[in-house]
Amino acid sequence: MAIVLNNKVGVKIATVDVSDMVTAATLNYAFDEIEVTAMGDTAHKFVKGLQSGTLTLSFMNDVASNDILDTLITSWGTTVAVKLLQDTGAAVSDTNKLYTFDILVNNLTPINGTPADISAQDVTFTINSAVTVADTGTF
Amino acid sequence: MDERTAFLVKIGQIPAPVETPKAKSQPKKKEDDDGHSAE
Repeated sequence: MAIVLNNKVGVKIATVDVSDMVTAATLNYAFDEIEVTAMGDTAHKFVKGLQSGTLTLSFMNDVASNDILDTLITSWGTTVAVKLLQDTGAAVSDTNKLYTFDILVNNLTPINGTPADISAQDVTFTINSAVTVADTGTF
Repeated sequence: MDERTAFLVKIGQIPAPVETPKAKSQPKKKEDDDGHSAE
């Protein structure tokens, strides 16, 4: 058994390591199922179509220059590269795969919360490329 | 490159400034005894 705690996930947006502000990360990617059912079939049949996905991040709004909020606001409306790694304390490997893709920075909620809250955001970005999963590489 | 420019380059929002090579200084033309150029 090789289950892992989720406390070492690494997140890089546009080459900026924002892991220390991220409180939750969810990568979801899938492909279209294109129906190819034809006469004579007794069940629906599908083939793999185009890929799509989303990246959902929860993070604290570090307002420091060149940090996460600055990176995302500056990248607003553009496509930037993202890297995700399960365990930043270990090298990329077969058991610690590196996920690389692009996101379209299409929404932000930079002001968010009540007086009792740490300013934070929960945002979902559309993935704007294929998701590459690698056993080698650098985070 | 200032810190802000370096950051913008880092996140891919602007291309890295192209370092233009410094123009080589022209070698002085040899002058003859009269102070005229050798050409």
